[in-house]
Amino acid sequence: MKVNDADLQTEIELYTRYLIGHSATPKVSVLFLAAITRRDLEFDPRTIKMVHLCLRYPLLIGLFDAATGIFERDNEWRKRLILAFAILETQPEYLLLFQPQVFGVSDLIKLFFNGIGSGCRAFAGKILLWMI
Amino acid sequence: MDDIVWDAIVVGSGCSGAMAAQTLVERGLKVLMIDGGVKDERYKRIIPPKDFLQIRKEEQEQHRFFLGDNFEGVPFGKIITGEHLTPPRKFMTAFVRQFLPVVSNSFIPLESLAYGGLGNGWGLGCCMFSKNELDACGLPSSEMQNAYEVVAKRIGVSGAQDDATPYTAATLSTLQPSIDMDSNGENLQNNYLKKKEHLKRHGFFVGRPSLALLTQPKDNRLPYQYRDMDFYSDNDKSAYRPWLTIDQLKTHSNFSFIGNLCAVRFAEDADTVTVHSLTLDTTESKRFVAKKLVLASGVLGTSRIVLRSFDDYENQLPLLSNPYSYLAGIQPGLLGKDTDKRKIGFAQLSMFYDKHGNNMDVPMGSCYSYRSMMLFHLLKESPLDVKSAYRFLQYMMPAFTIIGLFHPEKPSSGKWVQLQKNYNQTTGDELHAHYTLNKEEQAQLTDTEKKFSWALRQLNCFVLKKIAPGHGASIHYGGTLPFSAKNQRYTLLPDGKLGETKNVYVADGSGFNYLPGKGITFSLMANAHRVASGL
Repeated sequence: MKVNDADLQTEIELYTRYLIGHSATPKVSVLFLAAITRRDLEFDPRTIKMVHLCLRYPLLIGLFDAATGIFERDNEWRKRLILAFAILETQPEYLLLFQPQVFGVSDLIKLFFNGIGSGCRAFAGKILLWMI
Repeated sequence: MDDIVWDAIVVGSGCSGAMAAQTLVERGLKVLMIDGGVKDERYKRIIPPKDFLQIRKEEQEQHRFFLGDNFEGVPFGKIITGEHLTPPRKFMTAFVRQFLPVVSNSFIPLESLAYGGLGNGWGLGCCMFSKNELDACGLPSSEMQNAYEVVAKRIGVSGAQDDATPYTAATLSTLQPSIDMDSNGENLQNNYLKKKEHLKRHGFFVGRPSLALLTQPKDNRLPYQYRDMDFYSDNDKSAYRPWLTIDQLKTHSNFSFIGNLCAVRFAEDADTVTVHSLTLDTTESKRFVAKKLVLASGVLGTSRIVLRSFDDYENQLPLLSNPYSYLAGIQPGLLGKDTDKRKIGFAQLSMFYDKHGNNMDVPMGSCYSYRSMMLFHLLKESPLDVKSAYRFLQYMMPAFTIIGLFHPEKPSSGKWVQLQKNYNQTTGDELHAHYTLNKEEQAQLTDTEKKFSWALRQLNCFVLKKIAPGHGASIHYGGTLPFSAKNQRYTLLPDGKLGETKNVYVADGSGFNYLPGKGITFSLMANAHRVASGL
């Protein structure tokens, strides 16, 4: 079993929106499809389940991301998300989103609360991962 | 060409092979170099001569060389030897699994059949060994001093005289000015200048590294352009790579180069040496005859050739490899700041820990900024979700300092290589390697890492994580055929001649009885010149 091409396109669209708040360009979709095949990330059944859950309930992406980041850093689904990130990082149109930023105090406060939120999401996500 | 009896055959086109060949050619000998000769045909043409940021802004095809056509540049799993190679540098390891197989669960080396060998990925650090270190290596210090000067004149070395001078190559007569530093390097240096007396009392000396990197034009090479694409291309040729020497030697009538070959063994008769090799593409046998053979195929490659030539599948040869680790630190003063326009991928500062004040057993830390690498390289190391980690890393990036830590290495019983038969392999055998540190060595390493973390704290740089990429990751190997005054098998005479042979010489690091913590490549080149001079 593997994710079909149409679902892969939806998957990268969801990851792109989740990571940078933009829509995926056709080039990003093509590269993501190629990356999944060439890095052999197609067939792990648990990952496929996670992908299908993300397709149905996009809000789960944040939970899975947080949980795998803390508890399962070698998780295959996380590798798909990192591949998506790497592809986005090499697109000139998104360059500014990936450059080092000058941070003010308000950004730091935001970062701090993001961290706390991430911890909470990780525990919720961990329960979900345990159920899959 | 098979019928020619060459004056000398040099095996290998890396740093040692290139220097040995140049010396032999300049002496007027008819020289043949045989080598894997693998080149990057895929990425070289698509990387434009622009700086990192310009490429990121403009190049639609940048994903090809940043991620690789097979996305092999996106790292997953544990960091191991060779993982740091960017897609345009991966050609260095082509054919290695097939022709240079290594079996080990404790040692992961990096070897190369590339045109220019491992020199394609050299960090360019040039250090001259002290007299104490040369003695421990088994190298004659007066000959080496001259050889350092010759090599520096050939390759071009830049640096500066400062507190680190006794440990670098800053006393060379042909030294070019040092490269500029970015804010990351400058911040560290300024902090050192404020506290240097305190640090020096504890044995720490910090200064500009000597690098095989031009800051002034030389031959057809340009000065460093601060493009920060050092991990991806050699467009301006400011960084020394051995292929520059080989390309230049090819214009001489007494030099020939044959690529697509892996030398497998030699056989001697009264006056000549026959070298047997296999072609990489078809594994066809080829043989070449010379009056002298110079092995410069890297320490492990030379071990294979020598053991195979003596038909020895039992004996173990000793092995040295500098233990290596990374310290990932941040300088809080730079957090969230804008990065400046100067962009440098090479080491900007070197730290030396001379505990006993005798320039012996000195570990070296090379300090790098993290600016031309992409964020995705760091994501898998972050214990956060990708989305938060990405924002966090943007904040941290200007403050990131990576310290590559090389430890000195002495022989001990738990480190060896042995050739074993395996007819499933192309060469009919495989090299087995074993590498364990004894308790004392391990304790020494841990202590050194703590000392460096302390010294970095004094410089307002705080170590967040230590990364141990495993044994073999330093890519500095030696000691398999140690120098000895006696003419016996598996040792080298002081002039580099292989014991119990008539005309076989070794010009790589196989003879080094000790590996200082300072970078060894410059000394490998000086030794190769020294060996070739005496042939």
